[in-house]
Amino acid sequence: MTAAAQLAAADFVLRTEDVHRSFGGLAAVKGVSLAIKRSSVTGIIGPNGAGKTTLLNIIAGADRADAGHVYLEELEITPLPPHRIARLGVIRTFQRAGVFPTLSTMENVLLGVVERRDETVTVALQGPRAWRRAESGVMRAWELLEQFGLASLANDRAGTLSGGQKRLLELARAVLMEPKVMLLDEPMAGVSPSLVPALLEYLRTMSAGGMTVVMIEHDLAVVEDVCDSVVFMARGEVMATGTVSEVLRSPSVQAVAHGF
Amino acid sequence: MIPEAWQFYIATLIVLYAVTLIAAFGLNLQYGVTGILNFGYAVPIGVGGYTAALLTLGPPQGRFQTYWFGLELPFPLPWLAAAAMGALVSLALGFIVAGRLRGDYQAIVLLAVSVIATRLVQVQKEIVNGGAGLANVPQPLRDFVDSSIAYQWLYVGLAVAVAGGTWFVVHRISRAPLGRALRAVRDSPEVAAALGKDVARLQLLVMAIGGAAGGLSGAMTAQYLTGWNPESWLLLVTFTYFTGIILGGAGNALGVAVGIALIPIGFREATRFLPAIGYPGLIEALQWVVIGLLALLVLWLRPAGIVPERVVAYEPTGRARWHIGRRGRS
Amino acid sequence: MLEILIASIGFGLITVSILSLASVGFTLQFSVTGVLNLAFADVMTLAGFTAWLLNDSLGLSIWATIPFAGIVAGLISVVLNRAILQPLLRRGTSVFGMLIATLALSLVLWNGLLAIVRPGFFFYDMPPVTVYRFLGQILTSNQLIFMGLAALALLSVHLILRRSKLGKAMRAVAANPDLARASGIPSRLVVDTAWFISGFLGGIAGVALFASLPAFDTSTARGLLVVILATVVLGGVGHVYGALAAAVVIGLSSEMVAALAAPQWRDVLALLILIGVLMIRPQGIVRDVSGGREVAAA
Repeated sequence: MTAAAQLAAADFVLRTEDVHRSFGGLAAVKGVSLAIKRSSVTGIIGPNGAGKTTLLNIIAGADRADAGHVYLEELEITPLPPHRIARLGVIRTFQRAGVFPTLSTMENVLLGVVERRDETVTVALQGPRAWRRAESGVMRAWELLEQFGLASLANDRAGTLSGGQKRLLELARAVLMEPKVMLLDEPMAGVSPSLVPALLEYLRTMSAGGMTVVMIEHDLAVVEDVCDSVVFMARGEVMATGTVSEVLRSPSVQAVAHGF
Repeated sequence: MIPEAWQFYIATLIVLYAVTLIAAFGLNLQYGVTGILNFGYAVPIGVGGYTAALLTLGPPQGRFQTYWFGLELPFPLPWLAAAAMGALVSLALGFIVAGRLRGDYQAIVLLAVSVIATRLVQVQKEIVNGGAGLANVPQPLRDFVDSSIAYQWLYVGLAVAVAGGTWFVVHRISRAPLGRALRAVRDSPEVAAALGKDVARLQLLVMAIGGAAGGLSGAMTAQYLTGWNPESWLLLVTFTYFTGIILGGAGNALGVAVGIALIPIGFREATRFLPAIGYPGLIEALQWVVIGLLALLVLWLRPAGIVPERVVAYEPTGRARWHIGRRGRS
Repeated sequence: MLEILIASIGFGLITVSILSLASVGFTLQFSVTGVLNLAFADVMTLAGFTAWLLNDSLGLSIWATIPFAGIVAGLISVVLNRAILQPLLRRGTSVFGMLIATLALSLVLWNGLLAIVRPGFFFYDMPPVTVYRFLGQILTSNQLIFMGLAALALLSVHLILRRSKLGKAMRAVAANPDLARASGIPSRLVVDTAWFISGFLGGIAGVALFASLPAFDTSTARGLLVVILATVVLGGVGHVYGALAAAVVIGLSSEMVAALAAPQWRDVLALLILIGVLMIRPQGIVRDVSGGREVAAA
């Protein structure tokens, strides 16, 4: 890596370079290069089938790029499996809320909080006292569930929650994990509108504290409210990047937007 | 004083229940807790039985039965070796499927392995005497007691102790933070991986632990019955375990204990006393029909089983207790 | 050595015809309903024994029994699917639950039949044969007729899938069940037809399998299940034409292995193919469903 590139890497916590991915004959992502600034909130917008979720999957390691690279700070994470990328501090949420339906809400959250070194046979055999020690994060989890309006559902199986509640649960867990980069796939879809402003405020605070957020979002009001910069994707390509108003005014976006 | 014939019968029942439970606990850790539909679970059971037999029979004597190798090791080495071999073989199966394959493809591969392993052992007579199997397997600690009835109760003690130990290990694993990670893998490997859980490693771990339990169970069965053959570890054996587990309630030890008492053990014993009707083999065929129908019935009426899996409830004070969740697993 | 190999091609072709019928049937069921039916081999067995009943006690020629056997197997498939599998699916039974259910069904069918016909070996009263020798092959007239029948059956399936309205609907349902239902394709009829056709194919395969052996029993067809699974996976689960191509590959290669080594290695080869295929494209297979249980729906 050249000196200039190293300088650039310091500013940009997450970068993709010419990422390609196709399914069968269909190109879902065609040469996407992005650089995400540290401590920013970036929105990815665009019509259905633009390749947004595919791109997110590739960054998170759940999908493999056919070509191209993904860097987290100076480290190339393209070939890493998803759990390694997660351990490096990139936490994602799923379009169809990624909760564990037979586990309780609290257990879903604890899965993000408990340290990996406590999830071993040794700790398991030591008995309940050691388990509870490993779950020291449970009090913090209660606070957050309270803030997200989920405290009364803490001991219900996550499968019984509503769609919006599942998203909140997933978001709460991601927040508790204090990631470097948070990748959110339509986090506000189905969430009770009364909760949205508080959640966005939460994201802003977190990002001010150094966390980077990349979110796919359809609701432009949300995007305008919380995002520092926006990436517009269509047909697998990045059509425009910039601030919300810049992107919405750009001719290529206008062309796509009027096309549907 | 209970008549000796009854003592024999009761002791046999307890031993068979205990050794079946050992395997069922292992299988439940894999299927009920971690979500690996291990249709190949009979393989570590089979390997465990042969390991114990080969390590106690001594060198091959010739005409009567042919096999490779053969040592005369003292108790408890054959059992430990059987557990280790069960774990190793199971781990090998794990390397094929863990973290790579979708759950239903895992099941198919494991089923194929089980069927083919049985057939190979049946045909390759020189390894462990083919379809006829190994006979005259020595019993552990046989010289320890004089009367055969006392020996029955000694074996009961051994079997119950090992089953208790297996229960302890599996129960602790499934309730600890590790168990929660395993349940997460069961519910969704994708989401678990996105939280940093190494799905393949966790699946391999339970393949090994469950395999050890299977190997141990095989060894203890083989030495109790003093024989071991391919019929002892058919795919069907795995199926009856699955039926017992889903009937009792997958994912929790109590459910497994109830289910195993009902299906492989209770069912077999209940039909033992039926008058012999029809031709030889009729009752056995009808038994399988009924077990198959029972499995379908459980899936239809009570997929969470008699004792549904429980969730741990946390109180705002940080205290935790186990209770039955608001809705059972389907 | 070479002669053995060449001679095994003839046997290979017989295996190919049996295997292609069975695998196309198996994969068709999966493509339309998403069920991996572990009771498939037992439906083949039921058809084979239907033919045996007609052939042995009514004195019908084996050729005349084939349509009956096919129809019986087709009807059994439709009934199993409608009465047991679909209701379970509608109850939200997991993928694992469905696999256990089909394994349970397989046990019920197999042992139910066993209880009726009793353990033992059975054989068909086959018409006298003319032996043909050509290109190093030795084939009997009966074997050639079975190959012809298999080809005819598969060609009919091809025509149904490509030309008929129902076949097109079947492919649409396979591609996207929800969409197909929303766009007004009567999917129940489509599903029933698909299961009938696949059962029919399995039925013919069952008769052909039993006729190709000197004797058979109630577990003979079960022995073929692993090979069918390997074929279906090699062809890409749910892909009818893939299954056909895979049947040719596995049928020919397995007979060569059986001729060179011993018959049991045929199954080992099938297992290796099964594992190999699944390991080479793990990504492709892992992605669509997660571990047999779906991510909780939003």
